[in-house]
Amino acid sequence: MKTTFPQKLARGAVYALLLIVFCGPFWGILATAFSKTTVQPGQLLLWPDQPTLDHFIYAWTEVKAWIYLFNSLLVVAIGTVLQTTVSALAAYALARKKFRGAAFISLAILSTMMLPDEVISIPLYLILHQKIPLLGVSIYNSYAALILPLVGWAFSVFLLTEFMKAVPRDLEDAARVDGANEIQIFLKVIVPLVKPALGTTTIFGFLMIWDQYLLPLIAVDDRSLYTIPVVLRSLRVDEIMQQNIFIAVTVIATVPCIVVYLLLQKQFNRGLMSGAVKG
Amino acid sequence: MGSVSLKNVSKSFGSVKVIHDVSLEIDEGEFCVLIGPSGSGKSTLLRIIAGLEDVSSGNISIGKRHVTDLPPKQRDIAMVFQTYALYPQMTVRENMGFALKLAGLPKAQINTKVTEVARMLELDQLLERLPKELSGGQRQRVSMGRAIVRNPSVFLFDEPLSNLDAKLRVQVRGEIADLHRRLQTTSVYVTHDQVEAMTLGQKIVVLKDGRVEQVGKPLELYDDPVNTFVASFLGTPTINLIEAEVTGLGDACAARLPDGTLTPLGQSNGCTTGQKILFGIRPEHARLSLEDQPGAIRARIHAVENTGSDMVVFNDAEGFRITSAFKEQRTLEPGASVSILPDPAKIRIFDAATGKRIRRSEDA
Repeated sequence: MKTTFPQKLARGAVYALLLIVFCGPFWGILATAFSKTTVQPGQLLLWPDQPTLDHFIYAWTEVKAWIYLFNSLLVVAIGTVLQTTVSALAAYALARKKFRGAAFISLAILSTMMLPDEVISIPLYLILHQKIPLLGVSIYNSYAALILPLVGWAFSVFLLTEFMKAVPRDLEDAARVDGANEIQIFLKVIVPLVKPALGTTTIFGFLMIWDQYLLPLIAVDDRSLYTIPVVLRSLRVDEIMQQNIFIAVTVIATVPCIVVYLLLQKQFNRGLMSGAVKG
Repeated sequence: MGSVSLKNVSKSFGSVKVIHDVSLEIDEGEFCVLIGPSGSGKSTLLRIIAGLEDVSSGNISIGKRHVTDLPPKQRDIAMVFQTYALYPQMTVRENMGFALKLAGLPKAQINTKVTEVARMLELDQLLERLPKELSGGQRQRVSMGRAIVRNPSVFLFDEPLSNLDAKLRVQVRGEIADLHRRLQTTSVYVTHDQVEAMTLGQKIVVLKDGRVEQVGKPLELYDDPVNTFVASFLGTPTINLIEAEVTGLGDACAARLPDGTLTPLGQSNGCTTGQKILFGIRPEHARLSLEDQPGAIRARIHAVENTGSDMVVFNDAEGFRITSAFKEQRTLEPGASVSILPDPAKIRIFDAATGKRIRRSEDA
């Protein structure tokens, strides 16, 4: 079918509008972060004014954004790997194994999705302060406190469970006849077949851990262990801090997310699509 | 190579018993077919031999080893699945070599074996392809190749042809038969297709509701079924089973069919007059004639099926239907009057209540 000029125009207008809505704020942040002109809280520049890197240099050397960036990257790297591993193993058990209490465990995992983080914040705080038997120390104020509470995530367990259920049982049987043990079946047959789903849960897990704000607030009070979102918040309420510097740190905080998305874009879209088609 | 022996094997899923006390001996090098309708437990039995299901009671041996409690990998078996079950992410070469790789064989040796078997199955051009790039028949051959590479004591086939189209099925069936002739490996083959069973099997085991109905050579089962189930399960078109009553005829016995026709049963060793029976005659033993013949069943042609090589004629007699089949081409129209004469030597009679075969002295 041929599109007429007014149709093209209308379509172009919609695209332009979407572009402004989604990319506008990014553009504003970039323009402000690279401008010498100072802005008030809540203001953004629409066009760079007297381009400069000063705010970034200040954010890096004085605010020491690199410490928080390092913390965030460390937590997200270890956290994502652990989370994906644990989710995949849990999903394998739930999808492929018959055991007593499987339904209850499924339900228990699912129920954790119903609880907002705020509700569990006090119990979590208390647990993090619990001294570990034999060691006599708690994990409070450590990287472990920033990572371990995020390792079990119902969303990724459930997504992977559904994908693993779809792997034909014959394949598992064939591998068993071929002489594979449980771990070999998992690693060589199941995991390669749910790779798209693993890509999806990895990205979602990455974003979920990267965005954590409440947990670091509860888990650590040593500023040197703060992650980027916590620091952003503290800069936001810092009245003498220049708004441009705050925005420069925001840009720094955004970069890793964009890099990861670009790297795994294909997996991300495929994972979303296959999930959608499966219904 | 090894024989397979099942002794009093039973299997329950929860409270449902699916295999009832099955005992079976499969000789070394024998091709044994398990056949039965869906739900008869044939696949479960195969999976029990494979070790993919454990037994509730009973014993299994392969060769001289008791394998009842051993996992599949220690049973020295290879299995071909209905769905092929090829690992989608691996090439043909990797699929065929997977078991050898798991067994820790050196790469060079795996390669030699895989290449050798691939050549035998004419898969050597396809070794670097993924399963999704193969046709159904090729996939099936890869899955057989995967089994052959391991040189197991026993091959297990779980309805390997049911996902192929009719023409390919005949071709692959021939390939399986050739393969068995060449390798002489003990094989257990599950199917619900009686043509596959009759053409491939050296021994056929007919299963129903988890019980063995009859075990024997293909023609034994065909000619000498122990009950109506086996009689009607084997043979296309299926055997005619007509309700009848035993009656005396001179000093011999006869069957009185619903239309009153008296068909001599021989039975020189006496008969129970008034006994309700099922009068069985295979279509190819029910001779159809357009002329009236003494002692024949009179009927009217209901429908004619002509495949070119065979003619199957469905006839309506008074109170029952009777099918007749023959090779020669004849001009027959529905509605025509015919007479049908069962071959006396080929009549098989069964107890109407139990379905069990009643042996006539002439049957022996």
